Amino acid sequence: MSIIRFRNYSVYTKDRKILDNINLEIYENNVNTVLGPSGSGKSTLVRSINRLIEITPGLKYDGEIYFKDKSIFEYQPEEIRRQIGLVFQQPNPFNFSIFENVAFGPRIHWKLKENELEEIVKNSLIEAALYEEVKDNLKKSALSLSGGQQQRLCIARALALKPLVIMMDEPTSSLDPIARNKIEDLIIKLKEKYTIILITHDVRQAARISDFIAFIYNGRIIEHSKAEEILEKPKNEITEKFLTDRLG
Amino acid sequence: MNIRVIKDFSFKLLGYFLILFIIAILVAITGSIIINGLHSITLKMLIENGDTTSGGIFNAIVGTWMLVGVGILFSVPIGIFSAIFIVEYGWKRYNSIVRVFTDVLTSTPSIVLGLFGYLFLVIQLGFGYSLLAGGITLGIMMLPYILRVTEISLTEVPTNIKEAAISLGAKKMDLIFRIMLPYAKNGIITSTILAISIGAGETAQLLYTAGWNNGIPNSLIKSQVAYLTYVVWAGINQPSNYSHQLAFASGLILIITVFSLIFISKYIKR
Repeated sequence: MSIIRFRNYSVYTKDRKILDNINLEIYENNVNTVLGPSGSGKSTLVRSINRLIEITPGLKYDGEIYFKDKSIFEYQPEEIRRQIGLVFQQPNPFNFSIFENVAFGPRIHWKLKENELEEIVKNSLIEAALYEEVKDNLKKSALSLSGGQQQRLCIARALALKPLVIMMDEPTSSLDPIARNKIEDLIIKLKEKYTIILITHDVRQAARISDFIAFIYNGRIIEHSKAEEILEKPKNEITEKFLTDRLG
Repeated sequence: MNIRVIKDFSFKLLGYFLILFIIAILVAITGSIIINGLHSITLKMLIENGDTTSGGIFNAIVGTWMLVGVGILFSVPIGIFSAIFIVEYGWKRYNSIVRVFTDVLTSTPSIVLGLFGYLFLVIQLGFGYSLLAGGITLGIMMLPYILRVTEISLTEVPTNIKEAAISLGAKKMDLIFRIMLPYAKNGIITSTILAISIGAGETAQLLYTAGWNNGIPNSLIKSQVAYLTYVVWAGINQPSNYSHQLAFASGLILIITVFSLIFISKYIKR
C-alpha cells in the first residue's frame, strides 16, 4: 500500500529544474530510500512532502503529491507536518532541556495535562532508543548530548507527534560509525509502526536497511524498485555506474 | 634604513600615542569624578531628599530610576514587537523606511527630543512636567537601540532551528514566541540594559519634560520629578561648596550605575 504518491511533480527556480516530473510511490511500513548523489534533488523531495519548500523563497512547483489519497495541498500545512515528521541532516535540537525538546510538538498541537505530556515524552524517548541514556537528566540541556544522542532526540521529537511517516534526510552523515549503527537499527525497528523515507547518498547504508530504493539523478527518478533488484540488477546504466563507483 | 620601514614604524608610534591619549582622557574624566565624588559623598546624602543646594539626593536617585522605568516600559514592548514585525512580517520597502527613521531618531539631538516632549506631552497632552512626560521622552530615545539590537538578535536565530520548529508544525506565533524570542533573549536583555544606562545619563530632554521635585513624585502626570543629571547640572552652577559636593556625588552614582550596567550586559552577552 502506498501512503504517499507523487504525480508529475516538479520544482524549479527561475533558471533550472530541481525536481523534474517526479512520479513515485512511498510504501507504508517500509524503509523507502531515495538514493542519489549530492545536488540531485533528494532534500527538495522530502521538503516538498512536508511543504517546507512553500516557505523557501524563489521556488515554484507544479504537479501533485497525495498523502493518504488526498492532495497535501488540501491539508493545513501544520497538520501535514505533524503527520509527516522530518529529521534533518545536522542534529538540530532546540536550546532547551531534553524534556522540553520532545514536549515542544505536543505542546503546540494539543492541550495536554502535565502527566499526559510526561507520558508522551517518555514513550517517544523509549521509541527513539534514548530513554535509558537520559532518563535521569531530562532537565539537562539538549545541547549537552553527543551528536548521535542529539539525532535520536530529534527522532523522539518527531515521534512525540504520533506521525504516520518519518522522513530522514541523511540522518547519519554527520555521525561516527557507532552512532550511525544505532540509528540504522532504530530505523529498522521503527518501520514496524511507521513509514520511513530515508534520504542518503551512501549506497552501503541504502543496502543495509532499505526495502525500496528510488535512484534519483539530476532531479529525475531514474529507477525505483525493491532494494535487492536495484542493487543487484540495475536496469539503467546511470544507476549502475553510480552503484559501482560508490561501491568501488 | 628603508623609507617603508620608517613609515611603518612612525605609523605604529602614532597609533600607540593616540591610544594612550584616548585612555588618558578616559582615566582623567572618570578618575576626577570618582575622586571628587568619593570626597563629597556621605551616607546622609543617599537617604535624604534635597533641592540641589541642601539635603541629599535620595529623591534624585529614586526619580532617575522611575523615569528610566517608564522609559523602559514604553520602549521595550514597542521595540520588541516592531523588531518581530520587521524580521518576520515586514516587506523590504517598509523595513528600509523604518531603518531610516530609527537611524534619524538615534542621531536626533536629545534637546530636540526634549523640545518635542515639551510641546507634545507636557503642553498638548497636558501631562505637565511629570514622570510620564519625562519617561516617554526617554523611551523615544531608547527605542531605536532596543529595536535594532532585538532585530539583529532575531535575525541571528539559525535557519535550521526555525525549520525544525516549522517541521514540527509550529505556526508563526509558536515560532516567534516559543523559539525566536527565547533564542534572542540575551540580545533583548543586553539592549534593555544599555538603554537603561543611556537613559540614566540623559539630561537635556528631561530639562524640558521632568522639571524638579524636592520629594518623590506622587502621580504619573502633573507631578514633577527629580533626577541625578539635574543635580550635576544645577549643583555645579551654584556658588556653595555643598552644592558642588552634591553634584559630584550624583556624578559618582551615575558613573557607577552606568559602568555596572555595561559590565552586566557584557557578562550576559557571554
